[in-house]
Amino acid sequence: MKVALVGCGAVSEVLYGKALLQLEGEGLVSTSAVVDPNPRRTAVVGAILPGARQCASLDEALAQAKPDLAIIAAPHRFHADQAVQCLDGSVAVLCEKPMATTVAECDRMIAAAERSGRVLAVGHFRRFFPSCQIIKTMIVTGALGAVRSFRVLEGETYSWPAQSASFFKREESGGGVLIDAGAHTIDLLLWWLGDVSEAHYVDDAMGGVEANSVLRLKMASGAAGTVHLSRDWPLPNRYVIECEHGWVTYICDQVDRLEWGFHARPYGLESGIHAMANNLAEPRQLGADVPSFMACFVNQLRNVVAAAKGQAPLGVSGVEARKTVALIEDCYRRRTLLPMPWLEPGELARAHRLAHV
Amino acid sequence: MSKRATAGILGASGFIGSRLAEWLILNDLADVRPIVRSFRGLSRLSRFDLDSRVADATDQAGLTTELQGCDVVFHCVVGGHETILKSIEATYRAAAAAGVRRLVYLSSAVVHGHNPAPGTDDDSELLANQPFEYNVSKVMAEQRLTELSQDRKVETVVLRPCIVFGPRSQWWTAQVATQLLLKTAYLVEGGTGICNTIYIDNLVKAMWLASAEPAAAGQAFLLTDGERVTWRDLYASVAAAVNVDPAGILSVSLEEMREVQRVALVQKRLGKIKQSRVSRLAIGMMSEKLKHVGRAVLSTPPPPPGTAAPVSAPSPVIDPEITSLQWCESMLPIAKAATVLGYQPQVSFKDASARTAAWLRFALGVS
Repeated sequence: MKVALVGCGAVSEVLYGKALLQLEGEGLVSTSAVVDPNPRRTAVVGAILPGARQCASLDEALAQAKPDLAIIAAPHRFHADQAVQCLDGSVAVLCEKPMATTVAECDRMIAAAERSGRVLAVGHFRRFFPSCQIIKTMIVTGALGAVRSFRVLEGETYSWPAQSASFFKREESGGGVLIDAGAHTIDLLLWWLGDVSEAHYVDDAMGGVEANSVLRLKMASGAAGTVHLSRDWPLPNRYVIECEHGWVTYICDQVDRLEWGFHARPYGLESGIHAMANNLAEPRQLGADVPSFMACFVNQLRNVVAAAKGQAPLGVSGVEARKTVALIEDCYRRRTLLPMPWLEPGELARAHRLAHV
Repeated sequence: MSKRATAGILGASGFIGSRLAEWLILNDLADVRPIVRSFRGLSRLSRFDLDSRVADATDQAGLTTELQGCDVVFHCVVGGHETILKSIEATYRAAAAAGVRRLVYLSSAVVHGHNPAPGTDDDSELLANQPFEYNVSKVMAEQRLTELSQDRKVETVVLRPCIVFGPRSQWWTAQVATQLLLKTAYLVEGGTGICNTIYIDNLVKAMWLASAEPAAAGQAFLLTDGERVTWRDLYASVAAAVNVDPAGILSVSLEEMREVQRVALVQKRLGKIKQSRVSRLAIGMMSEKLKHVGRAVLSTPPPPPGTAAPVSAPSPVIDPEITSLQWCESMLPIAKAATVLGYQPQVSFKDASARTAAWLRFALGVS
């Protein structure tokens, strides 16, 4: 399968380049093009994938490299147009998160996928983490009882090696931390807990894009909780889900361990996750380590390739990822200014004016 | 300033630079142009719609381009010895080439040492012979700026704050909170030393005054909150914010402090290990009494749910530089800043502590 990598920013350099290189080694794909209007960036990513044609535009890549699958990793505002162009050209798409900046864009992408009959996948790769899959199973089976509440604290002093200012301009990114890192968070919550019935949202954008977001969500299931996201300041990076009989914690980017326990007990568990040994004599024996963070990322790509060939169900479809964009769009629509009692009253007044709320 | 100023801020992604930018915008005082080293430095600043630029603070040519049109430039760059020295040279020369009227350089009160002699004021001689590299670097940077400004192409003002705290302070707010929660905080002689705090909002107000007051050109100013605040006061205010009893803070005696510093000095002279290891080694060479106190503190019950729940309790690391800072016996004066700049601290330590606590609870996710 020939793959075009569209957008040569940090995610392509840090993750996709290496993932494609591995799949090339396995004979699953060949990278036929890397695409970016900045030739310095195509050179950087092209150095990782030396067999790929370095293209300045998607038009050039589609015409010259004739990919079967396009990975859309350009700035957010290009996701919809590029995905639709690829799908209309009968090219399957794996779109980086967020799927798009608006629901209307998502709908255009989904319609294009339906027209073409090609796969439209979205890169919510945390769903491929064994830790996240076990939490999903715990919730679906009610292993700890029904979910009552949740508390998510995810943030860091921004350290992503961004190669342009696109993450920090609303017209390029569609927003700040909520639509960026928060797209992963929202996707996991919706996947684990189902639909949202009520959302209350505040952030600290004052004419720009937010660095801090706080959501208060009530799920259709009745569970309620808060989500605090930041690219301004380090947070504990823990998702604590309180259930009827106990609790479970996902620690951000920890693919192979969970913390969990039962209510009102003096002990909790830190559980390492392993693959099952597949030992017929002892079916409950643990085996190898689970895939690493990078291997989970590769597994996402492997799933998309298999789905595009009709060999496996797709992990995260456009229809599924649209729910995340819909909630983010709804939050931005109803946003109010984050309370910041550490500012002077006069500053807060101007902050409200700048925030247009 | 007769017209609205364009203010370039170097090091705008950091604690002081980002609050200066925010304060100027939210008080509608200037057109702000943040200048950061890399795109990632824009995350906090991009809450506002700004004319942000990316340039290395040691790159004179790059800075000259990005400072075009600026009336004033604030130098808030942090870094090691080389960055401190290279950036002040590059900034002055770039400001001169770009036609910037005034450069406000954020130095530090440590140019007078951690425990300045009684009577030390803004015009006292700088202390070049100090055991800590940062202090020496700041002295050298001020001296270099004085040399550079002999050509009078750019007006310069040097500001010397001491212990800057408040929202987004890594050193004197967040780290103190973390140490308190982990029970690794310590205070020399129970924190009776003078802290010479300056709340971030008082500092950025002084920076703005320094950019505009004609009589400030060529001058240096010490800056504090103008209140007698001890280290115990500072730690207690943070402790209250995170629901920790300050009575449990480890007290380091003067003898033990000197023991730590002596070991550090020996190791520095030997030049065998990095400073980060010196402190840990120093712990091992400490008196049994201090080790016992440390163990006693660490054996107290864990903090209540919602404050902190470390999997395993770390040991306190007594840092020679921190202990040195904590043993200050004099309040630094702000009379010159008051007279020349018209600086009056607007936010009292009490109010500053309350605002800091509000931010800290938010930043820790407990609000």
